[in-house]
Amino acid sequence: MAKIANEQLRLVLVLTLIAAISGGILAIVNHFTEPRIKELERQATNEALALCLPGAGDFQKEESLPAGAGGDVSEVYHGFDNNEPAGVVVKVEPRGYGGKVTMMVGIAAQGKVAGIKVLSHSETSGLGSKITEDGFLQQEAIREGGLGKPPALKQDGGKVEAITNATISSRAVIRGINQALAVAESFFTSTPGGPGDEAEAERGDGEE
Amino acid sequence: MTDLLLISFGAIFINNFVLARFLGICPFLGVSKKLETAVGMGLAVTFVMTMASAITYGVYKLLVLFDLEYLDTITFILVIAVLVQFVEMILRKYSPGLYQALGIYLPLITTNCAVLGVAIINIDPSEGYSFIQATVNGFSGGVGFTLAIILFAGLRERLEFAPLPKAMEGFPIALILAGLISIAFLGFSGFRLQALLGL
Amino acid sequence: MKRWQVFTNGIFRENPIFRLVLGMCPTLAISTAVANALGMGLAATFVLVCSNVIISLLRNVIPDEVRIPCYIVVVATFVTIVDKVMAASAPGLHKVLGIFIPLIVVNCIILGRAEAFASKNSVGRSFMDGLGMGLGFTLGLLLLSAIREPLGEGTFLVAKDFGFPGLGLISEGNRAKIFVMAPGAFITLGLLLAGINKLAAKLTAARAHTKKGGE
Repeated sequence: MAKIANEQLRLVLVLTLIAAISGGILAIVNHFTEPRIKELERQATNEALALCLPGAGDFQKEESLPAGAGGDVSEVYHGFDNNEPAGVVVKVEPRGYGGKVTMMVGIAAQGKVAGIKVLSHSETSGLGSKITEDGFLQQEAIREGGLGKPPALKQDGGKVEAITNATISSRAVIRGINQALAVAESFFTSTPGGPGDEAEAERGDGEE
Repeated sequence: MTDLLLISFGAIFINNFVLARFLGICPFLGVSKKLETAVGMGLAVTFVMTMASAITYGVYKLLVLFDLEYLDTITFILVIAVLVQFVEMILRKYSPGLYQALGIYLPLITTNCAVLGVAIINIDPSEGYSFIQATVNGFSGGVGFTLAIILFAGLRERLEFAPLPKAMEGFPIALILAGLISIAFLGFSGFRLQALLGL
Repeated sequence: MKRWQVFTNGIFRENPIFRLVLGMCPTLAISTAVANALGMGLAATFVLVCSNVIISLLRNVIPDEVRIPCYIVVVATFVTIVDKVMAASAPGLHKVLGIFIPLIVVNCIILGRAEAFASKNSVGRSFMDGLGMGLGFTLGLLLLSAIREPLGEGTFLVAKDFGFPGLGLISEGNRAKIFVMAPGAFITLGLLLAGINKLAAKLTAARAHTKKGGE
């Protein structure tokens, strides 16, 4: 009887010991890698922010999303150039063909789209995946977009050339840009020349 | 409610765990020679995936509370192993009929990557699932697995009578068949459920 | 079996992908580019070698009744180490491989070798077995991805983490996207397996023939 109890105790002991040792090893590994991983994430975010709003030197994350922001908006950053507000960068996650398209849209203080970066997506490789390419993102009709000038696909009555065979992916990006513009608008209420209601209406259409 | 419907539809058809995400390929290829066993495996996997989703979601919240997120993989796999053992014991004691039907598949499920996979997907910050959403995702993932393995087993049963070159027998033709089913499932990826629901 | 044979066994005679047909999930999922295949292959090899050595060392300590949970803990520990180190050193690759890094835990090759080999053999032999199986897995992944990447993406050896843009092989209009999509994975591996079966059958026949001739 005592032998059986002893045997069972051994089972539990060995398993506990192995689990404890591995927990300890992982704690040490985590201690060394965690700061580096955090740093890399921060760097990646900063690089993307700088790309979207080239004029700004440092960025501050808005703690809470503005009221009335579109459902795809996930984060908002304010950009500063020598302590002068330089614009905002909005992180949006519109749904594309294969899933969420996570992207950042920078809007300069003058109300123009300053830069767009697609951070991650799961669109079809070779078709929808072209939303990350300059051929699509850098086209005139998107670069010219801004407050009061919401970009829209040709199919939807605008001027933006959609990627061939990837209208849904293209439309997702445009929807993201327009939601970002709507957020920017709520910050630059004093921006000149903004019949912003139009942007609002256009955005509604894009969302079906 | 619509979010649950979207998650469910996505996990079953658009991002089917087996045919689009490549999770649970081992049992998919291994236990699909007969329709009957495929159904059994599918049901067992669905059951465990649903339970595992609910439990690992809670366990992860606990890990976050104690700042131990880095132990997630090791904890999840142990929780799943214990869960599978536990389910086996309960079934044997209280439902011998069900145990007879599912029992032999249960030990195989611990190392089914669809189960650990769904647990990890559920805690992905970019998905941001709630407890209910995670559980629905687990259940639907299981249903998607069952659907895929049943379709596959049905085709494989017929394949037994097809004359094949020797080199193609077994896994090679099974993989090609899986590829063809996967092409069929690609059709769902353009499906606009939101539009259909009038959203 | 000599140690050298233990090593080559995993690469050819019992290649995990082509002969044992194990570890299919990562094989199908990440063989879209050669760089991903190499990353996954090396990560799995590291885990395989380490877990084989530790399990072989502990083979007389671990009680039979709880051996599977013990193996799982050992394997999961090394997988988490790989996961963290890769996230800190090659974030791009880490993101592409994504969920398939933690899923190395349930890779049938690793638990399979722990149970079938490391728990019964010396540390040195287990090390060689892990290394051979790991390299066999890596070679299989490389072969599959070396077919899928050029046909599907038109490029070869793209490695963004190391700033290498890759070789452009096939022009934009002539690529067959299906090869880097889910169905392409199944079909390419199926055809490759059939080809290797055929080759293996021929080799066996040829060997039998020469043996007969020698008598």
